[in-house]
Amino acid sequence: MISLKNIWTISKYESLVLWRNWFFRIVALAGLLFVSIFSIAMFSEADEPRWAQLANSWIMPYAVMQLICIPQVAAVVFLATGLIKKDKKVDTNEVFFVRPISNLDYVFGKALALFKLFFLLNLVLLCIPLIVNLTSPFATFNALAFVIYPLLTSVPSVVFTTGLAFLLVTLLRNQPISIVLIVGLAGVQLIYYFDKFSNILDFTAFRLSMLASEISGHVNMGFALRQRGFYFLVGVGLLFLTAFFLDRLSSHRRVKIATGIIGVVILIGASFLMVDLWNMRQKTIDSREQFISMNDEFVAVPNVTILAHDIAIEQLGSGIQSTSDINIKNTTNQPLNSFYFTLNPGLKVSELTVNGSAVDYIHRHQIVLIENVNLKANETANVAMTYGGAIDETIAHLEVEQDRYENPNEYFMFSPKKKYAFMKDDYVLLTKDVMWYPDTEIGYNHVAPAKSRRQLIDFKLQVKPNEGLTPVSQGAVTIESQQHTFTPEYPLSQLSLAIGRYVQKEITVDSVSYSVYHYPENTYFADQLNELSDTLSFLITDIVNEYEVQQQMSYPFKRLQFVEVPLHFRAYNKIYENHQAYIQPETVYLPEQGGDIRTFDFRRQMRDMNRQSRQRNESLTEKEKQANIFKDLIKNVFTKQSGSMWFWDGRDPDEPDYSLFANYYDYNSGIVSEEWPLLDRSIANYLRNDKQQVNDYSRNLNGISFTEECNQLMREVSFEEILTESKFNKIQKTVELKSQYLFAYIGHLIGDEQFRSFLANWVVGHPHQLTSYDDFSKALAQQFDIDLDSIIQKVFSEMSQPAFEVLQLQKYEVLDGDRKRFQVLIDIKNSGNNDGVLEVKFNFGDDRRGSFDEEAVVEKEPGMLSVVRQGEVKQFGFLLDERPNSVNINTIISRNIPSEINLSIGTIGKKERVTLFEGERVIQGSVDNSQYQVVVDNEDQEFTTFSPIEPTYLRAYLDSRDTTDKKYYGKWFRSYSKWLATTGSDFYGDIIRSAHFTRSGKGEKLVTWTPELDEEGFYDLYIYLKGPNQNEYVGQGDNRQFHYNYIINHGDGTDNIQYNLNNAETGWNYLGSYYFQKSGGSVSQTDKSEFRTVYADAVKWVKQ
Amino acid sequence: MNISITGLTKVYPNGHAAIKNIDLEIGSGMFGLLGPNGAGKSSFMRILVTVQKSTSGSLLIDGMDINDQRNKIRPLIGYLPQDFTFFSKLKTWEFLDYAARLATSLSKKERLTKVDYLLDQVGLLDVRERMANKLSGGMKRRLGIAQALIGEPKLLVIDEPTTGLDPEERIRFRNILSDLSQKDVTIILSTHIVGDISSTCHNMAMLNKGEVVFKGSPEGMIDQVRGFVWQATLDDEEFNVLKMKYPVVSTIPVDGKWEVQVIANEQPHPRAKNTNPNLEHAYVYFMENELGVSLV
Repeated sequence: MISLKNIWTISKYESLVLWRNWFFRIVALAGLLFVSIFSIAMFSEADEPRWAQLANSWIMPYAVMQLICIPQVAAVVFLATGLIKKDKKVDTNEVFFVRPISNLDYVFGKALALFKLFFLLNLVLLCIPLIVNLTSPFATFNALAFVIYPLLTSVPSVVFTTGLAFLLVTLLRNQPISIVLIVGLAGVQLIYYFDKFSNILDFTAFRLSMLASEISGHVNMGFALRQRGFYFLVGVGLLFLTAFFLDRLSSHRRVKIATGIIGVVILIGASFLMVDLWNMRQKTIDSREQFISMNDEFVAVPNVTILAHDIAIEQLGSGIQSTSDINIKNTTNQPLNSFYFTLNPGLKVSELTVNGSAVDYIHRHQIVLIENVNLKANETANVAMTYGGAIDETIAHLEVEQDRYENPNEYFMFSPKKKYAFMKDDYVLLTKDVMWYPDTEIGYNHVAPAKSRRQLIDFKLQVKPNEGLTPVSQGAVTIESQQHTFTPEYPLSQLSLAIGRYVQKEITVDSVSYSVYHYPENTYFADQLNELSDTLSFLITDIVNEYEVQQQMSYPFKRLQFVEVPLHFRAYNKIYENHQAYIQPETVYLPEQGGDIRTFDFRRQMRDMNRQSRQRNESLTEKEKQANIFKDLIKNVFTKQSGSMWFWDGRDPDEPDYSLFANYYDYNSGIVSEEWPLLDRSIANYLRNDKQQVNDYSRNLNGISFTEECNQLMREVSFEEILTESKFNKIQKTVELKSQYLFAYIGHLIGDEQFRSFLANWVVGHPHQLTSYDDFSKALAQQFDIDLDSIIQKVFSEMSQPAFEVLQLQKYEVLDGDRKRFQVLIDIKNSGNNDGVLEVKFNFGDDRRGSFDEEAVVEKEPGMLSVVRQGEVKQFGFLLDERPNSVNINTIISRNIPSEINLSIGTIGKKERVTLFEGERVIQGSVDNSQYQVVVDNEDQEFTTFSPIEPTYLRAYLDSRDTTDKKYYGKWFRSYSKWLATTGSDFYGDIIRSAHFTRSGKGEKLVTWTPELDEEGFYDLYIYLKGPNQNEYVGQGDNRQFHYNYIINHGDGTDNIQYNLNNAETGWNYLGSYYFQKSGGSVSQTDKSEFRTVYADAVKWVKQ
Repeated sequence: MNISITGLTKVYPNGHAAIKNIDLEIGSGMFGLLGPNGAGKSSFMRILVTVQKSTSGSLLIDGMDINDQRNKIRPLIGYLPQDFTFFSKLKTWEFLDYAARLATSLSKKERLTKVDYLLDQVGLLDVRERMANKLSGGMKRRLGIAQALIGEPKLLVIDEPTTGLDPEERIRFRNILSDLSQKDVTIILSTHIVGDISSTCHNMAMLNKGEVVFKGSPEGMIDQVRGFVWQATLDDEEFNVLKMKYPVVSTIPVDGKWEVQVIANEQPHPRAKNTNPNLEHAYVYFMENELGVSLV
């Protein structure tokens, strides 16, 4: 049936033919070139590669295999279909068909020819990262990585594609159609099913999670092996079926039948793997639903509170065996016949006693229900529970909806599986999210999704790890033989535990012990910051002092430990918490070797620092540079006091957050409210005084910013509905905006500084304890005489929003005594339906993003927080010592677009003998305009567009896919074949600042402003412009001239004006004076310009 | 080698019957298959070499049924199809070696020796390193013959063997076949070039519209036409009259007149004389008289 000799012979000569095929040679050469450039650019010392790419020894070969997997499949499709096709006009195949070979010999011989060639090519391509790896002074060589990744990515992909291509060509007898079908299949997978269904359908393994951790090794191998096994087997099965359907008479009927049967059997075998894969995914989904249902069932059931909890845990191979001695109290004011604990569903309870007596219990999913007990109100009891097994991590993060849960974990070019717990014989990581010890709090449920029940418990933890491993947890540690005992000094809301080959580096500063727990080989930070040993304590003191002054709080624990954990460990934002699981009490979990955190890449930071020093002609010592790098890391990542970040607001609601603030507030204190469960999170949000500059580019992509989207949602849907029915990114933003609004409102009522101090004092005055909302609101009422309840009620329930119009912006250079100062007066009217809060800040000087020192943060002081009541006009006066560049008016929750208005100050004229004003006052608010004027904005009906350019077929198709009813469009995503509206601070408008824009053309596309004038006569015409540079980047620093083209239809005829933009001001610009009758006049603007994009905003007619 | 064919029929899915109820016995030696284009020769040969199946009837090769025992029959076969182009990117010797490895179980050394021997036989040794697609049409044909011979077949099936060969190559080819036919090899030649058969075959069959219209020796076929081949020397006018009535086999201008050979049942012209027939005359006679195909 099969002759190896024949297969080998066919493969030998067919691969020779393929090797001489120009297509293959081009593919191979392109691959070599591409992989060489990629490997050198990404990994070689030619351009100081990112540390994350070198730190993980699995990355280099895997990255190359992932890079080539899709082009390789495409090449295989073309070659395979050509290899097996039978051209009817040429009988060449027939001389081989009459040879004494079986159909299987023929098909497998041809397939092997292809495999040999591509696998050889893979080997050659892998030599490039191999050379780079071996010559890199920093990368670790991992031979296994160079073996397993080709086997796992290339082999199954090539076999599957070949099998599919062979069979399709054999059945369809048409090469082009077969190619289109397979390429289409790959396209559908990549476009429609990208990152869907746990990448089960990803036959190229482009996104399949296979990246290993240096700490925990491969974490998803079972799934990956099954997935790759499936495609490999299907490929082999299809080759058998190709032999069955081959248009050649088989050597024997029985052989043919056997070939077909084997093919089908292999496919059936493969389908078991697919079912298994599907079940692996589905089981997680089902389990999570079951767990949530259990929580629903128990959320309203009264339960006991834990006072103290002693846990003894022993690592047994790749599992654990634990005992918990729990001191409970019935705090429900009623006798309890039953109570329950939550526990990871993978752990099995083997023994349970209450006050030393065995009791009846039911362990179902995550609930251990103890029945037939009699616990009077306020009675305490001791529960002893023995449990063990493995951790089922599907219990973690039930609050995360499915698509967010399955969202890929982006790491360099990979999507490693998200892990929430680790339990291997050589590594363990457990957080409260996986319920690794019994607790009495119910997790996420449908009944009260935002509700967080919190309790602080006196924990004690004894850990007996496997030999050679070190456990890391909260509290002071004592070690006796293998037993580590952790005794936290304070009650804590949770414990976490990491066990691994950790070594500790420790420094004690101001009686706080700072530790880094790292793997012995991961000493990169010590090597890169080797000069800091004698100054580290001073640096830490400086940073801590600066941060604590900002926060008005002190670090409440005795230690702070930074623990590196596998890169797969992933946390989420939660509705009711202001921190992620990366931050645990006294502990920060960091991705191994700093992972993809930019400021952890000390080498590149040093490179950038050197560049900056050269540019500034600074000469810094090595020590100073290292100190800067260290400060930059801490202030960027952990205290958020410096640096800047560009981000697409709303896209990733789970951007990792390593802010230490949770240890100052969340794990230390808390104001617990049954009625306002989100209050505590809002307080944390308010107190957390991040200074990091964040630049959101969601407007450039979507036309309006994500905040404005959420503001619109809040006008349409109640807050309760948003909390239960919206996507998490909108929930999170809405809660943030509401919190910001709430505290800005309260801050305005009682003074921002006073309120902040009150809150900080409250936290400092109640360390390591939870306080009730009632106590808090009473204290607040006592001190400031405000009714917190009614304010919260108002903020969280009202849907109507304010709308702010900036009526006037006056700015003068004035003399304040002998001092030259700058007076800025801003008149703002609230023409909306509710009271509104405004935050006004000024920007000064240059924006020096990405530099290393403290000046990096753009100063935004002074400013003002104010409430403008509905219908009110307020004048805000500022006396500034420095010349301001721009003023930023954040309307927080409003109908304004943009909701954060950034107005350029422009030129400032001198004014003498003026009454200086600083503060805010309610004014009448009518802007004095003795001259008759008419403004036509692009939002008005008198504005029309004309876009005669037909979109391309592709554009028309892409446009037709977006069925959302959009009014505004982002500037970065469009091909601008017609006039579209967009928004921004630079545009004209009272509440909505928008303009139309299009790609520049030959003048066919037009916009027209047609005013209805009350008076006939001579008018001065003004156009509203963004300023001299309409496109931000084009034409800077050269002498190119840029123009817009206008057509004026006036009373005396038509004039064409080419308007030079180079000297344009931001705002109104004079265009000319013309005679206009009451109607019939207009101004048009064409799409002709030297810029790529043309904006059309507003035109003003001012009667002379 | 004995090939026994009974009631062999091939009907294509479109209803076209390519061969109909053929009965033939073919023994060792050269066997010629003659017939016009579309007579069913290629279909018959493709069935014979196990490339396609017959619709009905039986075909036994040394008693082995071609449908049941292809695995035993295929090692016996060497085949040169009608339209034969080569793999574009194999050298001449590589192509032959590829065929040799599949057809034989010789050691590498023996196989390469044999490849060179056969290349020498077909006159391609000088171009052994040349890419097969760079060979001339005749060379490609010869390489085709070499690949058909490489497995020392007991049954050699050659479809239109001399198409595209120049006279010298054609003679060389006939000689190769003659040498082979001395051994216990059955060679089946299909051709519409009568000369190929007349010079080499001892047995033949003539196919027309899928049916065997003659089977026997070429001499037997020639005998049937004896007395019906006429030769005359005619002027233009006479020739024009004659060719309107009878199939003209050959026309040679001689001294301002035409020396003409025609097939006719009676004397076609007073000056016409009987001449010795050859296979070509017999073929024309058969087409004209037995099959009613007008060649006039």
